[in-house]
Amino acid sequence: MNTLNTIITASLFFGLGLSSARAQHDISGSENPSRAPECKTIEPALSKIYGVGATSLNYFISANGYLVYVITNQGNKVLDTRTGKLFDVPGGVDPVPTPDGKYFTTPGLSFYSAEDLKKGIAEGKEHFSDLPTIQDRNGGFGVYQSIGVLPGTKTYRAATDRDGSTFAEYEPSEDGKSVKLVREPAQLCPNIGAGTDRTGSRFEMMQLPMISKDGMHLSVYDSTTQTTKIYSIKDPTNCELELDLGMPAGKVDFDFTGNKIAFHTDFYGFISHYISDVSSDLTRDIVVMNLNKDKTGKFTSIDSFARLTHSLNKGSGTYYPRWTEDGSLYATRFLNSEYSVGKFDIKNEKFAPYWSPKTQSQPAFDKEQAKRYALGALIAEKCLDTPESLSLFDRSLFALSLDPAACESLVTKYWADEKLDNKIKGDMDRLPIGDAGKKSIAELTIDDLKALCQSGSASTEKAEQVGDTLKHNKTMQETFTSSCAECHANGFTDESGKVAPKFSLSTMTEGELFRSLRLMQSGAMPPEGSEALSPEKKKLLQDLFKQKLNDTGDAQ
Amino acid sequence: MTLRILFVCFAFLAGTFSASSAKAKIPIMKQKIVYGRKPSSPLEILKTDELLAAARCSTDVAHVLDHWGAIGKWKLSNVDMDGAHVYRGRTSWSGVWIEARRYANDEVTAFRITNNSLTTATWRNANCTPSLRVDTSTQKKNFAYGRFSDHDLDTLLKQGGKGMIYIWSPHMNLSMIGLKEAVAIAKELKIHIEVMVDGSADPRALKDALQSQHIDARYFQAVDSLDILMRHTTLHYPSLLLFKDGEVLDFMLPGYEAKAPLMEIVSSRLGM
Repeated sequence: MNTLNTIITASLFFGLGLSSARAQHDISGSENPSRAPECKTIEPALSKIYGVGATSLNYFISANGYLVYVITNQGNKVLDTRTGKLFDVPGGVDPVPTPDGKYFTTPGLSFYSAEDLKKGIAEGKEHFSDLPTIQDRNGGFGVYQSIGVLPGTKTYRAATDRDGSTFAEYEPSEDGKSVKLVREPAQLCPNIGAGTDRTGSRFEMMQLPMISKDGMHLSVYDSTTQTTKIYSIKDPTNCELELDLGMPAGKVDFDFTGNKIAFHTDFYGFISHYISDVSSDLTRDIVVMNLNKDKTGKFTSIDSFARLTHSLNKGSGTYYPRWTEDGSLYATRFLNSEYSVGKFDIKNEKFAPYWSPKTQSQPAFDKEQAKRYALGALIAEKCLDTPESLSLFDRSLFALSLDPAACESLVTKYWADEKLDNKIKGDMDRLPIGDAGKKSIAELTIDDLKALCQSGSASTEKAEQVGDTLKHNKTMQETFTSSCAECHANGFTDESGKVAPKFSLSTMTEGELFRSLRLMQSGAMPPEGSEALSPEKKKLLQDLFKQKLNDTGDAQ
Repeated sequence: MTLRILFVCFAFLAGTFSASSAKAKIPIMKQKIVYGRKPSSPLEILKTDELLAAARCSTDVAHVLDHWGAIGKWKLSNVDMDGAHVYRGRTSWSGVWIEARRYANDEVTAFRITNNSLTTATWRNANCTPSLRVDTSTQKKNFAYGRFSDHDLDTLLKQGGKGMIYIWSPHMNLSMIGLKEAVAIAKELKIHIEVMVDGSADPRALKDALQSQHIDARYFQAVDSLDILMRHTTLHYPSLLLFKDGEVLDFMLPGYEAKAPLMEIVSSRLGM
């Protein structure tokens, strides 16, 4: 036995013999032309991409109306989605608007007038970091604030992270020029973990609190179950658990109708992303859930589910989706080393009806479910590096993300494959779907699957790029620093041996900057053949610098 | 992904693994997590025989899990919407975890996870012969400011004592503010603090943090430890783990906490 065990162990570690190479496909064929074209996925909900150039974005954002509040390496800013321009606003952390869009806040609950901000933007002002606070007292409680407006009132209920979660209420003055603290900060949901000390159960059960737009619900991450939960906070002193999402989620955002939530998570193919450099492979995707409520407004179950992104590319991700009143979602994107803010229109997204064998009231496993699971099994076999690492449910969701033409091609090419057929049947055996469910799967035809490929309103139109990706009210020093520091701060040698000089950016004079800009203008930088910049990026930089020279009247 | 994928079928080892699958007499653990319907309960830890009770090929699965170094403490990670129960457990080797997925039909699939390989074991045939498949990667990322690996974690834990593991990100400003406070707390409590940074962080943002935030260069080592990442530490930065007596505590704090309450949490959790 020991000898055999040794063989097994050795084989596991060194992959000895008895092996056959397997086709290396990835679902993200759209971004890697070498991969199978029939595995091409789409992100139909992604409608616009707002480039923020070299500005380094924090992951967390907030949104209201046409304004998206972001945190950058240069402090808080607001993105005007009508123009793609960024403007400075006060603070360096977490600018969060009120749901009615009249104010925005910073941690500690300082209120600022969003109306003044919008007015200033309309008048052509560019900087708003000196906007004054307008509340009488901020309450000074905690960080990670989220805000709702209590139904039928103008009262803002704000929740923060202090003591698990703490809340306070504010009201605007008649003229809207000030905001008053009307309910002193107090522990939110003191009944959760009651009877334990503050570092005991209560604290563990109340992490990352986020309040709904109507101030009636609260989502929290519970580390004792490692899942995200939704509580009713109608009575903020006696909260009631309504829903457990069954998975860990980043900060949840409730939509304005109170029927949907969005969040980022990494649970799709979680382990498959650990097989090539642990951390660099980590990705984030955003998920939207439609929730069911009863007549009293209580969340009862999950109705349907969609993943808006499928970041299987290494080290990429989409973070912190935030709703606006019109049902759009905005989220931070970090893809291919570029920051941006993405806008998602979920009307273009296909939702999978929620089905779980554990929830008796959910619809039975029907033919539509059968199609999705069967197509998911086919995708797993033909498109994923590590098919087993994705759950059957995760695979079925990919069925909704395939490009329609690619999907049809995949089905045409492989559905009749007998070996695959057996594999898929094996996968389906794992589902607790009873005889009726198994019959649904057995009766599937190639036309059924092709119909699924073409169903829904999925759009294959490419997302619109908005805004100048590199020019955002930056000073010449800032532009130069962010564009050139990567190579020059520590010196840089390209493949041909050319060396970029070291310099200290903080001591560069304007004259030195101009000389460098002229070099760029002449095409001397970056070194030809260098991999430091793609031709497209190089051109963008050259155009930018030419523009900078024009701005200062120094163009040749 | 640049993966070298090997499909390994151990049919010839049938003699080893085809021992009859004696069904354990332990009753199936009742599922307590129900999506969207009922409150979930705190996670419970199962032993291997509990995890595999009445599972198909249970003896054979147990054999492989044992081979992989499973220590026999399984935590229910989640219940997939396809009915599968997903359990995770550490092994006797640092940086090696096992995930066991038990499907509704009592079939089990197991994964041995390291930071550069994924081994998948399935038992789908009648005689319980395992099919094993190894996916490995040779691709390596250059961490400009160093990395903190599972080996480093092992070394840290072997030193004994109590301490904090603080993970920050240049993309979460409060994590940078909290860093200074966490370091001060460690100093006041006279405990070790190991600081590392989000391994997915943009190098430009790291450079910016180094130059403009004046964060000590020692704190830029990137997380490259599977043990740390498997504890949901990427959910929201900063993330805090605590350790004592050579073990990382089963507790993860996501998000910023002000200095005073953080001090309380750390001292309470570490029994100080």
